[in-house]
Amino acid sequence: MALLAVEGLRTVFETEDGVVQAVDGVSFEVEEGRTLGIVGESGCGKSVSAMSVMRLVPEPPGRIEAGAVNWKGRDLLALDADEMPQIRGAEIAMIFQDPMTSLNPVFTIRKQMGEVLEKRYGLEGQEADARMVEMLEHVGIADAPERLSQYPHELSGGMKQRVMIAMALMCRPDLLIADEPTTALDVTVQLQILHLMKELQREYNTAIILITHDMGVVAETCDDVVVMYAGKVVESCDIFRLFEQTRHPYTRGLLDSILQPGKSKGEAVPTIEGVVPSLLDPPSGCRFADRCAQARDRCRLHDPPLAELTEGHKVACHFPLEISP
Amino acid sequence: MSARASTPGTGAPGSGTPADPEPIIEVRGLRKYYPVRGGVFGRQRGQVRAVEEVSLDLHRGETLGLVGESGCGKSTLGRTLMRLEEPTAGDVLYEGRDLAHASSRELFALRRNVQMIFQDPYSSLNPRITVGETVREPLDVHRLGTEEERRQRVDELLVAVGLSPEAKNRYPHEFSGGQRQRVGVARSLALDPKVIVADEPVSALDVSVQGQVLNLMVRFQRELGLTYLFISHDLSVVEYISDRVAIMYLGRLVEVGSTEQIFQRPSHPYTRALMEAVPVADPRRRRQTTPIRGETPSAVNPPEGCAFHPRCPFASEACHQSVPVLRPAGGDEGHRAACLRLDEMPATR
Repeated sequence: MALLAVEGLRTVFETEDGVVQAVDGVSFEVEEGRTLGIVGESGCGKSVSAMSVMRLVPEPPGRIEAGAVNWKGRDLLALDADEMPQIRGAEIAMIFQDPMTSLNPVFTIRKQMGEVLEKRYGLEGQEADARMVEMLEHVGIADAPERLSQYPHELSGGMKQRVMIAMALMCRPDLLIADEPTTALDVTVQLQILHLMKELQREYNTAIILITHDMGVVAETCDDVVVMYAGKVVESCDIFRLFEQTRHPYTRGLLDSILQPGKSKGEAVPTIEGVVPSLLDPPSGCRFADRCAQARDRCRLHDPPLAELTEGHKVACHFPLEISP
Repeated sequence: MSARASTPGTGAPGSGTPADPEPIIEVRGLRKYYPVRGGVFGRQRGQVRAVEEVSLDLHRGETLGLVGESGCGKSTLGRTLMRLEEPTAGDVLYEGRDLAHASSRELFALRRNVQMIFQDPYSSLNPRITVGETVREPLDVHRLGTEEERRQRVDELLVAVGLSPEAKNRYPHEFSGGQRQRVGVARSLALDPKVIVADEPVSALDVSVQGQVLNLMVRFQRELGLTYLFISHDLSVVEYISDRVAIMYLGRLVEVGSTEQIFQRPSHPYTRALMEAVPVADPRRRRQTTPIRGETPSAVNPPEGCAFHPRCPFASEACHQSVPVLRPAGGDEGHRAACLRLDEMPATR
């Protein structure tokens, strides 16, 4: 059984111009101890999906309209607001692209980490300090005792992300949701952080949802993948089938537009022409139809459902690509 | 000169010449330091050594990729080279004429030939003026052509970058990121420049759209014989578009060579670390490499000796003391690296 199962999630945002259908009928599952990548380009709804799972969508203007988030036999969307904090942080933790989303600039690292330890475990003083130092060293921070008295701005970008990971893992969550955790980091530091996340996953058997726009990061770290486009899931399967048995034309386009090593400007880069449709008034048919080379009338009229083509491989397309032998 | 200079895609096929080793821009011993102020009286407490002793040639018709991680000084180098920043020391020659010390009048004339494309198409376009006015502004500033000629030139440029002439009456917020960057490209071409400094021009764009802008830039280079300084942190983009590549670390160039030399036979330990850190979009090729330790140190107090030594797996005692200079690497023409232990480095791959 899946650790987390999201079913038919629908999240909208009220704006001056109308209602934005940011996430429209999204379903996916995360297995224990595995890493699920949610990939897609800006505005596809990948972050809003994660925020919805955590019940962190600001309401208003946001609103979760439909769906269920099954977690250990409970529907997180049906919980009372005061029950959620017991799950958030303790059972499901989240880290963000910008560590300053979660770190308070006016408090020392000791104060921020200590708050969690005191609340959850009643740890204070030297005992708490020892635990914090242990966690910081575990995520590869040198001079951990000195770091405790520092403020976030005194740490480098990679170091802040390490502190975030240490805090996220302090309560041994079963699931870590990481929203573009390495996007703001240098490539050499990105590799350090990705390695760290995988190491800790092996150690604690934590499941990870990794939200990213970077297919390279997905290929390096994920076991399973969900590809999103304009608020919907268009394809989901394991990492190997995504790259080797691609069925959705959007996924294909995305993979083709990656600049592979050795390619030079002698050959043009394949691109996906056109732009993402407005989610204020999304097309009634397939949302990718306007940019899809093989779209037919049916695609413009009827929205294709996410269907399981082969076991564990779901695709939302009326005319899925054939698998090349 | 009329405002109706060459427009890509509409004129005769361009020169299409490969990179000519004749330098169009020569950078000599360039330095750019910024004061660090602090305290109640704002006294200078130190300086950020953003660019330190950089010498570099930009060959006519080539794309030189300038690569490095955040804070390495690559953007400052680009801006100082255009004299959007005053250099602390050193020279920048454009076709032999000194740009770094030119008077404001000379600079105004020289600037026509050297234009810039910026990273963020969301903030680099003025939201209060139409796209047409944005593209037209350089023509107005330089008073090129008649009113009618300027109007026509704007239409041509918009069409050349794949937008409709009607786009000129619309405002930046009505466009997607990729379309806005097309506007940025159109504007950079308005004066028919010879050199374009492009600072992370596709970094803010989604991958499916990145290619559209890269394809445009490649086409214009072929048709107009443009020279690009392409500044980016993204190695795959740089490998694709560049003829030559310069790698920067903490204000200094650490390796320079042809794209093939840099990507196939990287010599400097930092270049190697960078290459190894790039995620590969192939789940069957997951790397087991250990990432290099640490992060780029501050440019206010750069390490003594080779700035990379605290992170370098090959650093010896000497690397803590002397600053390495660029010298021939790998036995190939034009390939140079700044590493004391170059000759002891194991062969790549």
